[in-house]
Amino acid sequence: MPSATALADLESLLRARKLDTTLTTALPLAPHQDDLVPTGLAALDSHLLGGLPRGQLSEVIGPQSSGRTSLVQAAVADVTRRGELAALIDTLDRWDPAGLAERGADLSRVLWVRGHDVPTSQLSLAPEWEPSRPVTGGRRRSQVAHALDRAVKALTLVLDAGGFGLVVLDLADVPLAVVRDLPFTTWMRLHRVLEGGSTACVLLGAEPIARSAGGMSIRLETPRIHAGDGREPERPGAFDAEVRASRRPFLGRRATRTSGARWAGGLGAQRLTGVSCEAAVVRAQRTLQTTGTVPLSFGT
Amino acid sequence: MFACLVEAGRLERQGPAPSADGVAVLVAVAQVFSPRVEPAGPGAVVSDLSGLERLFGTADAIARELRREAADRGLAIRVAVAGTRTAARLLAYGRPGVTVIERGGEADAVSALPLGVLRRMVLADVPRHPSGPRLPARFYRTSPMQELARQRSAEPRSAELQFGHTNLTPDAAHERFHDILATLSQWGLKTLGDLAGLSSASLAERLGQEGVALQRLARGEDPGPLVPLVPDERFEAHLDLEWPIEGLEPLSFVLGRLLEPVCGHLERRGRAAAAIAVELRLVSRDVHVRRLQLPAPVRDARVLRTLVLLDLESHPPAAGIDAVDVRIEPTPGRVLQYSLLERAQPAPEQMSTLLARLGALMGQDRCGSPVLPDTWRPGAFTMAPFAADQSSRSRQVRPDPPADPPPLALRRYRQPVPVRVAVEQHRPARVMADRVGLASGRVERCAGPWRTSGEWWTDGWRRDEWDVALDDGTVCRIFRDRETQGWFIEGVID
Repeated sequence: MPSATALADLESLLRARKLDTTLTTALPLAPHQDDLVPTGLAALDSHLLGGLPRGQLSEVIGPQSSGRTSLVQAAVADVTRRGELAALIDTLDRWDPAGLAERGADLSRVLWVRGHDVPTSQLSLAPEWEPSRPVTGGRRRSQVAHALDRAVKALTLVLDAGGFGLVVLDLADVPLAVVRDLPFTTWMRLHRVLEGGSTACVLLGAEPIARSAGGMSIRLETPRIHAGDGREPERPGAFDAEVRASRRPFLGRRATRTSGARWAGGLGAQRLTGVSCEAAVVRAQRTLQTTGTVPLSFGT
Repeated sequence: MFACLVEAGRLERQGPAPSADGVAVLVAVAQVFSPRVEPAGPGAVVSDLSGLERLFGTADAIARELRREAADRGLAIRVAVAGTRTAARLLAYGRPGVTVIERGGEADAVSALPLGVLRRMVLADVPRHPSGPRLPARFYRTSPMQELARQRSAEPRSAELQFGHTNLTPDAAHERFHDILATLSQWGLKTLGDLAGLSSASLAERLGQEGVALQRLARGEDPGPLVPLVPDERFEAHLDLEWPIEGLEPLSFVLGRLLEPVCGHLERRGRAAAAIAVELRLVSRDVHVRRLQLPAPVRDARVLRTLVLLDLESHPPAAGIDAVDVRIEPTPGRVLQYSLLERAQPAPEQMSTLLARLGALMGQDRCGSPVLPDTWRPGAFTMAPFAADQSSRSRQVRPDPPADPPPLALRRYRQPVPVRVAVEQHRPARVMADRVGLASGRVERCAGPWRTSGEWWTDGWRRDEWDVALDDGTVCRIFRDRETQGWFIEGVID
């Protein structure tokens, strides 16, 4: 580490040769609060140094009942309570506005774009077996693919119009195979639309989909247990380990996931009180605080 | 100089109140000569003749031209020209035919008129019970701001008193001036000159300010300036096509050509479009009409064209188009004040276009803001139009939510999905969906049943709900319909 005197000498030398305008810092700049959209969850916002970055494409991912929709719901409600507009592109029409209202959202500031609820039988069959409509060119596309296509177009229209603080594209119930059929340029194009703007865009899904360089991925997990080995259930550790684990299968070990549900009451009078999970964050730009996970809790 | 035109037949026969058509003819006659025309009570209009000497000659020549013009339209009128509006009106009411008084001689000219002329003029301005057809709104003294105020207050329009402001209601004013005029008659006053000759201070002591106002009128003095009629402006355009066109792409060029000058006219008048109506005359001789109510005033031709085309995409004409009519309903333009302290809201034009495009893509009823109705039905909501003009809404920040854990979200199936549930000891033990991809598996823990029902007077519901955690980690809500005894998945708690 160079001494302060040497650093000052270097700066004055550069200034004398009129090269001081090239001076910069390798340390990341702390994001300005105006450039971030808070999620409304204090613990997570603290970990994110303020919230989700504006002008970037981020994602919230996790399995079913991991709290991913609740997290996004809290962010949408918080945005509207602060007087900004939020848009919700609901690909398969799954959202319940009662949850937004319960969180204190101003529903008149929420633009809800509802796709068509594709019959769930269509979600489960292999694409070639799904009832479909022929399109020009002979390639048959499923109803889910059509719904996704319309949702992406709606997202593009909303981002082009601008003026929204937070825009969410809900892909949580769309099969991954259908999502991965989208051209990769789709996400690049969306990022170009977002860049430089004041809108934070969030993709909600089960697995990593897309993220811009300045965006972040928030993975929610509930505790896992490994059946048959008698050991204590492993809790998810640092996100790096989690990422590697998610990309390579657990060979020879069958892992099942428990729900993070919390219960209260006795056997005959139990009630669901909430879901607990942990959020791990990864972002391309290194920041001062990147390690560890954040415990989150959602209640009824 | 001012000219007053009065229907002669009405005065001479003491007939009923004039029709709206008669006043319309008077206004049209006066507007042939001067654009500054003001209705002055039933069956009378006053016109400002300033600057007409070079075109029509002397005041006498102008008066005779006015009378000839009215005669050509089948109306017999009296015309009086004087230096003040009041003097012209009094002379028109009091003398038949054409009367011309040089400027400065108003007081002398009206002094010989009987007091009944003043009574006729004053009480005509304050009708106790307006009889006959109500004149069209454009025949009343108005201005754009007054029109706005009237629309906001939704109060019926009334003719402004010609002799000054008064806070009395029309009925009370009618009674008051009737009483004053009766008092003047009891005092032995017979002419306007008699009234004009009284001491103003003594008159004020005995009859109040209304008496002084009448005295000023008797001298031929104007209580205020002439306020001319504001002509109805139409913002429309029409085009007959040389050959029929089909499809929206050629129509977009036609609409652009029609809307550009109309929007320019709107901008010059400080107006914007509140609604736009498009009439397409088809080759099948039908008329395809579409009317769009705009969520925010717009006067950008491109935005209007886009909105019309998006609407026609959803409601296309059935045949080729022969002619296009565009009609815009104007409204005062918006005054925008941006804030340095708040983040800019999207422009209403952009938002209107976005909502129209989303409606065309997803369906008109699929885009908007959710509204929770007053019902206990699970999952009930309605869709309200998303407000395009967010700038006028209060930016008050709502208070922070309570510190409790944020609520869980339920990913709800709009149509609950039927499943098979194995029950053990009155509790669900296994959920089996016939379709892969739905929540299925052994129930590890469950909470319930929560019995709910409602709206028995319509297609209500009666169900027992359970929150179940399955062995794959999914937590979902299932229910048993007590009517059909069937099990369904309502949604996944996420």
